[in-house]
Amino acid sequence: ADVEGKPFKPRPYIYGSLNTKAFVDTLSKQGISDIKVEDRDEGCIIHLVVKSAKIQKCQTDREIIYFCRFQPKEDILIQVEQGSTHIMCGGDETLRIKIRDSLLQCLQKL
Amino acid sequence: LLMRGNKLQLVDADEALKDLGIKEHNLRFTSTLYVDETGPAQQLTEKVYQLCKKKVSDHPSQLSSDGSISVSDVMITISGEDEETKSILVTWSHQNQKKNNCS
Repeated sequence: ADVEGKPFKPRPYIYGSLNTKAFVDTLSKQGISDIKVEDRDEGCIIHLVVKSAKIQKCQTDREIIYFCRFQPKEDILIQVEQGSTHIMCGGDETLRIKIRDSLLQCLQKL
Repeated sequence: LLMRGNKLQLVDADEALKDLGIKEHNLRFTSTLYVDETGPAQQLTEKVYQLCKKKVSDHPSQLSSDGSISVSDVMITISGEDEETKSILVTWSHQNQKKNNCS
């Protein structure tokens, strides 16, 4: 079926709480090994240190020129609570997607 | 499709989840970009706000009194008041990204 001419893809619903151990194992398999897990009252904080892509510069607009850069090493924080996860990372989109996909593998879906 | 009593009913996915007692996992992201920009953070906030209004015209952009910019459910905050390098923090939800079918 189409919605306004765009192919309709039903989105999977993710639910439940994250299995932290399974998530850490999945990240390790992705080559992310510098992982620290700090237990908190309502979940945990996962701290990753990952070598980022080389420093990049980008022009965001023809009129307003900014030079954005990534840090050579990214400190990534993942706040895990019951029923919610917040991934805080730098601007390396490839890395963010790798972490997101690892997380989605560890959640239940409908 | 949900079985309610003896009847099968086609209901909205959100309603079906509620009916089944399943709570969707709330997944959010914050990406940070570092920008070499002297001057007050407010000046960069205004420039980014104008850029959002121009580039994302199909979603309304709003500038709050606390200095944060919101575009739909995407929140942009700029920090580093007196520093030469400013941080631009962009926060959004996975659910909303899927709904809008954007990458």
